[in-house]
Amino acid sequence: MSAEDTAAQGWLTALDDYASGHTPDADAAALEDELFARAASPEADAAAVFLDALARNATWLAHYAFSFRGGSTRAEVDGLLASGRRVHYADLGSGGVARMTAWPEGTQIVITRLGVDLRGYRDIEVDVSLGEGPVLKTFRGCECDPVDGALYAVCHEPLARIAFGHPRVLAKVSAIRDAGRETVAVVDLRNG
Amino acid sequence: MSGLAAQADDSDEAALPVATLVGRAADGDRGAEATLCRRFLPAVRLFARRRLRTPDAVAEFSQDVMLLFIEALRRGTVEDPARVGGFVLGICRNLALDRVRQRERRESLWQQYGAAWTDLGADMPALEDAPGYEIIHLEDCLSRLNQRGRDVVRLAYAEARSHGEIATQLSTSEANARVLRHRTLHTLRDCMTRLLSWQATATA
Repeated sequence: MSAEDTAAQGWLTALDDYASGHTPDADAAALEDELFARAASPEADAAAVFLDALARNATWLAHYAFSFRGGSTRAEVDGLLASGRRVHYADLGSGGVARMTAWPEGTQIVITRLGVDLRGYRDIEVDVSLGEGPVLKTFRGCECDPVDGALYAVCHEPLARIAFGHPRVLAKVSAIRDAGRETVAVVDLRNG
Repeated sequence: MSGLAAQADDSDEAALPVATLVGRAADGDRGAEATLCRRFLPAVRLFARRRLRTPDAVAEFSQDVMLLFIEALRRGTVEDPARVGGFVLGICRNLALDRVRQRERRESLWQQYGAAWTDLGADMPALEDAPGYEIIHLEDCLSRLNQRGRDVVRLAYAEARSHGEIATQLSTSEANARVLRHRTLHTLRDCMTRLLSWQATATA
């Protein structure tokens, strides 16, 4: 890591301590002087802008519990379906080739169900790739429904539109039971 | 630059020194005035978050500071334009010291300068509206954290909990809660400086 990166990280940490109240008042005054001096610069204070946006965007997302969870329960999904919001629900089966159904304009939330049974497993992860390519991302700390063990993935429509906009998405579900990690299911999602 | 920084001002005036902007604002240049306000807004909100917990209280305090700042710009009462950062900080400190007097003054300021603030403040979607790129980028990055990391983000940034409260919720020590918070913050920052994960390969 370069000296510049280290300094940037240090400033972000200092600002976070300041905003959280951890910084003593005696030190806060000097930090405030620097914060506002940096704000006056034509070059935006990236750390201050990031922290400010993080707080506001996290507050917005916190109105939707699913944003801070690695999966929803059936009861929570039923709550969303009955909420009056425009929700698209798709059942992807239990593995193998599946097709994502198109959703109407104005959809706000997209829910996909994978009919696996993950009860008794822990550390559930889903590796996603675009076909045979490298793993694009890993969903960590996923939760299954406690009643039937299925996975319910919920997100806002603009994110779903980007995710399911790819012609082919491969999702490998793995989890730990007993001693080792097992592949529980692989979904080969074809779109379009 | 982070996706979260996309709200940064990209007008022609964004690169000008503050003293020039203050002069232009005093001469009635509303673009210069808006550029100055955008430049200081994150710092003002951080100042407020240190002292206030709820998002509404932070928003109200920030609005009040910016209204007073707009008033000073239009009246040409920023004495040393090159040190306008200290001037804005002074507004923050004075307001923090006297919230009662400020509450009475607020109403008349709103009537006079409220329209200028409204343009700056309305950058978050309503809850029933579709979230913008910054929000779904955060949603995408949250899904890459483990559940403990997501809990830290929710408690620390959405609910403005103290280290002690986060420690209680996560059944850990206060010192460890602070370490977790910083570690998660830097992980998120790193994630947010990259493309949304679903777009990464498409452009590789």
